[in-house]
Amino acid sequence: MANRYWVGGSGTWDATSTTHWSATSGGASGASVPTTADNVFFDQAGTYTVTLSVGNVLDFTVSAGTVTFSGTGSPFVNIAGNFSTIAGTVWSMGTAGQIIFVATSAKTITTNGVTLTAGIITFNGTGGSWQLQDAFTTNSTCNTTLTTGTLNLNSKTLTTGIFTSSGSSTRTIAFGTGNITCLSPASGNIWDTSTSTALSTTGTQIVNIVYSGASAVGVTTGTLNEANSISFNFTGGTYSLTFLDIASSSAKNINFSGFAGTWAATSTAIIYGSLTLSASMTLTPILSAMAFRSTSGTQIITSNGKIIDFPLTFNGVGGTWQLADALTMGSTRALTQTNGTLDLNGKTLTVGANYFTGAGTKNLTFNGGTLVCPAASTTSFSNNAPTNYTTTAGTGTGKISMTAATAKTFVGGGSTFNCTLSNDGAGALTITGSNTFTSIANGVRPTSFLFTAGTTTTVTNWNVSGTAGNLVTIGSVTAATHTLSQASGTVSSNYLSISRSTATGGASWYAGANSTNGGNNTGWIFSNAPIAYSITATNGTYTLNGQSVGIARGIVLSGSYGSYAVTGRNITIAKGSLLLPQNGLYFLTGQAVDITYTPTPPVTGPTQYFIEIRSFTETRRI
Amino acid sequence: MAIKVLDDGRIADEFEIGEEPHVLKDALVMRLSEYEALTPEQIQAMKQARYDNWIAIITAPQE
Repeated sequence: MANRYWVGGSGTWDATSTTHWSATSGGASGASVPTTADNVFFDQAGTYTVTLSVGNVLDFTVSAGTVTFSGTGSPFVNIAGNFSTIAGTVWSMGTAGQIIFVATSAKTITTNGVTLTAGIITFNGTGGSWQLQDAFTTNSTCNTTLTTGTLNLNSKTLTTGIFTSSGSSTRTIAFGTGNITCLSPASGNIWDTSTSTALSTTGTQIVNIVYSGASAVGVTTGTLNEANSISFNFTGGTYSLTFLDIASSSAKNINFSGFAGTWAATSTAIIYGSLTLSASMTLTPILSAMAFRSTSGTQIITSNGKIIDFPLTFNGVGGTWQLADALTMGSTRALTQTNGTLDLNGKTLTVGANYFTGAGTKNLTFNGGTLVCPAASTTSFSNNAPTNYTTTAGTGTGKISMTAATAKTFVGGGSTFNCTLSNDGAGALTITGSNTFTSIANGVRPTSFLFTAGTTTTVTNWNVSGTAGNLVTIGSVTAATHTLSQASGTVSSNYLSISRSTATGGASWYAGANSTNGGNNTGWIFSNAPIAYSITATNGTYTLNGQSVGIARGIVLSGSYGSYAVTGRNITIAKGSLLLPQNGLYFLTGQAVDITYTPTPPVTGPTQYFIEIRSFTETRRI
Repeated sequence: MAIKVLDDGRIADEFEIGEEPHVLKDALVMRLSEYEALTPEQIQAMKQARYDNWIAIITAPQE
């Protein structure tokens, strides 16, 4: 290894000329042309230009002067060691120029804010690693390529026109907390890791696509797994974007905020993170499913009002996806939930043709949200794989809303649905399976609920009613009975037409006085449910206004709890301990009050007893 | 409904619009600076547009 110092001001650096090389700093020229075993120093004061043709160095150091590196022909420089420039250095090799980092051990790169203008900058060295000491910036058309080795951003920003790392050599992009920012789609692909074999990534794994023009852009990610997948931010532009267009191609977080172009995904792709669509972008419909495959953390889906016109699959063991806003799918698209938790987060998720479950451990959490199934289909909601399928109410009341105006089917699979199942379309809703619901309800009337004969549907609350002239039909799919079960309380329906229905479980099932008994029913009471009042004195003071109020005896009206004003035409107060004097004063207002007093023990001696009756104006003793 | 700050710094103006049974539960999600640049009328119009698009989908005649 030798040191070589550039001397003599401006000149050409090629493979043969020794005119500008010295063995000592500021010494005589004539030293041999450096090789990749020699350190090269540009340490002379002054302003001069080095015109590169062919260069080979170990360490490349610019430490003084104002040096311009230009190129001639197809210039290139192989750098096997560290690379360091100072502020004020100009690197302008032209679009035909190449910088090739060929180290096979750990090296550093320090640019001090110098923009490296070249056609291609390559990192290619088995066992090599290049750690950025500061931001690394190239011209907007430069293609930075990682072929072999580790490109260690060291939490800095690498800005280049295009970034490429496609191949089978072992290589790593170590982001730390840094990112790669891509400027221009000069050749179509602005990011290319299409052959991602032996490519690994660490750190934040963020790529910013900041191109803001209208020319077509390709971002080809390859098939990186979850750990190595990369997040992409598309920050602007009106271009047509080809992204996740190859089967099993993948990305982590995808953020289109600011993007106003068209995303043409064309094949089955995988998203391991969150997805944010832009309100001003266009989505191209596709037939293949986009799969959310995260296995940890909570990923956020923000659709910004865009209709997602491709199938969606949620399939990540341990993954959670949460809606940030309403998500609406194209009317022909299916959503399949196979593994992980889909949290509606209080928003409305409108699927297209189907909601399916697949074989796996999956959970649907509502948190007050609504799953809308609008399709008139026998698989509109289809719990095909009920094993290990759970639902969680969370905060608020969730709902599965079946909105088709014609017949549709809820295939429950015998699962428990901690939500309301609501028939919100005029078409008959067929419910298959022996399922459990928080409630069953209807948002429209007339409509129909048809249950598979032989099934038992268990509810906490049955909230189905029609209106005058708009009966809601309750029946079985075939000519046999089904069972409805509510454990307690009173079912209070009305305007139903019921047949082949067994109502049971412990609750009192009042169909209502205006309901129709279509026959083959058990347990239904075809009258109105009694109106029950419950008054708890400890909650404060109550005023009851009504033509007829029945108050059950108990401690409720004990004087010690305060004052009660009872207004009614007809009040009966049952005898008991309530009117004991120690409980206070009682004011009885009524057209006629009978008071019967039976002393206990019975009066047997000469003791004198008084019953004292007070009005507001006088007191009398009997 | 509430305006929440998301983990990534964006805000979510959560809203419900419509009448039962067709209630859309949605949110406008954007950066605070973008949100503050909108007038109340523009915000309401965005919410209404979301609802109009959605209701058209779920009430569309089925094939």
